[in-house]
Amino acid sequence: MLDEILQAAIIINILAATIRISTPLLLGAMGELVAEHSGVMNMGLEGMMMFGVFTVWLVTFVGGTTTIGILGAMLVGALLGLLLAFLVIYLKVDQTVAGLSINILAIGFNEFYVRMANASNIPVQIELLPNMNIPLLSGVPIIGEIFFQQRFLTYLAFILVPVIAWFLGRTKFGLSIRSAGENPRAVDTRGISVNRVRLIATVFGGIMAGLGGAFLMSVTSRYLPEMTAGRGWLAIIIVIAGNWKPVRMVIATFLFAFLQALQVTLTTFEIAVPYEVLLVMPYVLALVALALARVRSAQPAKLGVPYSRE
Amino acid sequence: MMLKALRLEIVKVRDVHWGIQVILVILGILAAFFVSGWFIALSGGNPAEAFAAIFRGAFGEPRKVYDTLMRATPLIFTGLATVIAFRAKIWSIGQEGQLYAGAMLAYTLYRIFQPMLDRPLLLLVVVLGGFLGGGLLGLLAGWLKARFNVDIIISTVLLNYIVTTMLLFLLYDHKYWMGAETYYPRTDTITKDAWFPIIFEDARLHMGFLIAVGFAITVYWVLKRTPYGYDLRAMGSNPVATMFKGIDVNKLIMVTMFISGGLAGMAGSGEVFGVHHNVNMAVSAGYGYTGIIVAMVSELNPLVVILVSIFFGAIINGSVVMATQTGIHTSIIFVIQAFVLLAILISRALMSYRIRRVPHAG
Repeated sequence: MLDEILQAAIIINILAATIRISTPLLLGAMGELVAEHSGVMNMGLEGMMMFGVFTVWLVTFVGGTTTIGILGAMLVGALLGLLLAFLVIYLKVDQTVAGLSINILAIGFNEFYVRMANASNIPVQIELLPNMNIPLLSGVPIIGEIFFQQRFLTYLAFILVPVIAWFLGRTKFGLSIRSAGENPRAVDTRGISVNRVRLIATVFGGIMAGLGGAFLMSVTSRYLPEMTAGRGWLAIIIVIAGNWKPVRMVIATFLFAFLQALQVTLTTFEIAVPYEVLLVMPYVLALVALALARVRSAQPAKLGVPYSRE
Repeated sequence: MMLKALRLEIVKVRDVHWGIQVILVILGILAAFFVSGWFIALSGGNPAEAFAAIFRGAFGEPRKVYDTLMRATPLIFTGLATVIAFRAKIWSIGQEGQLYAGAMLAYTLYRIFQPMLDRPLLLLVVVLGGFLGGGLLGLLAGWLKARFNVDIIISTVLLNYIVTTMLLFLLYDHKYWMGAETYYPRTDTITKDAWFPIIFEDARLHMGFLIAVGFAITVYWVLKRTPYGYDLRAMGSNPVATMFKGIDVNKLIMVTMFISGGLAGMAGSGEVFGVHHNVNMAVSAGYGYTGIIVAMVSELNPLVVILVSIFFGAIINGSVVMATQTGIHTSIIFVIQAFVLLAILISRALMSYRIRRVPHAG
């Protein structure tokens, strides 16, 4: 009897963790989706997330609150999106190279700040983002514990999925973004600047990435190296594996998040599977998912191609 | 918008004189140092003092010069690994993982063959093991691309995580690689008969440096003079045409990824058997990523890679002296490296454009 209660508690714990861990993946992936629909592949997503992580830490370090840190991370994400847009849209630098540079830039800063954090004698305590229980719903047994006792950013991430799907499919500007990635000339003939549309979409992707990174830092009190641990890359993979379709992307997100939730939850128990095996599973799954994701029917036709009039 | 009003426009420039290129690269590096200096000042240090200390620490006396060359060695390898892949527009960023894979296979072979082989043969096995370990990991990414069309950039990142996690697994258990004499995640010290020979008395510079320089010259020659190098460059400049010319693109990708991975793996065996003399989680101080910067600053030229590696090796080596003399943390070098890359990228991109008057305006 007691055993069963314990088991149920563990399962609920894992599922609630799945929802929580989905947050940064989903934020990053939805931002990436918008950028890619406009024709810009943001390969610097991982790096932008790293920037989000240490922006929150840095803001706390100089005496700010977590909320200011999160806003700061969004701002930094926007600036990085602007940098990426400047490089790939106006200077027409290869998108992979530009994204790569942002990642390396981030790795550099991240290394510096992590070591600075370790070297400083005053430990920085980051004020954790509080749980926001949804009235009524959070009281429902099991379902409430899994879905409705999460943080604000988690709700935001999930609400943004239908909102972005609607925005891309049903609004005028959303259609301009998608045309910029499918048939930029058509956008141009309508008198809309392709480059400006792409710029806005890329900056939006940057903001979402910054937010995703900020979430990671605002649910853990200590700044550790490798906090992003490839989540930015997983977000890119989620877009591909989800074939650029929001609903499928959510399913892919759950899959990755579930594996990570297993790792987080199960390592506190004595189990036969080594910790590292649990740790590595999402990456292996990602490789397999990519190998199997041969349907890329919804990939924007002009993804990665800079636009010029001649 | 503004330019149009002034009757100016931006045009693409086809050929840039190499002298201008060199000047722009140097200006880019100077700009990067300027920004880094500002960053040091922001974190409460004195930039001039810091850079002077880095220079003294890197070149102050002969032994420090040898140490600088020692730090340059893994960068030459990972830089070359990047050059050969990027020349074909294969965007591999798996150098870090391949470095560890090379270190791991070399160490495995060392454990098997150490009791039965003499020093020269053992060294040969270890060096080849490094190449093979990195090469096979590179080949895996190449195969995934050829067989399943998995983007190299993503697969190599994932493989980096997978390999380093595997090493973590081996190093944290006494059953596997964790040393008997240690509680840290590292192996026992490697027996001296497998250490890379030292080039100069009393310095740590090992034979890996000479191998690295040899490889740089070889890669230069291969790219320039062999049919393989020709195909590789052709694929880099026009992948579609390459396909029509009857070149087996898939095979080319796999071979290139094998060689690229092998070069990165050499850095791994060099660090384990030449510098650390054990395997641990810090065998690479981000050499895989720095190698990418090295290659891009070198404009993907294998011979220039040697010089740029020495430049970055000097910063890494000099940062130790800087840390003890000024109290600024050594990890500032990562920030400097990142700024150098960004500055080079922007100056390169700007180089290919020029502002001129609109020919027939109105």
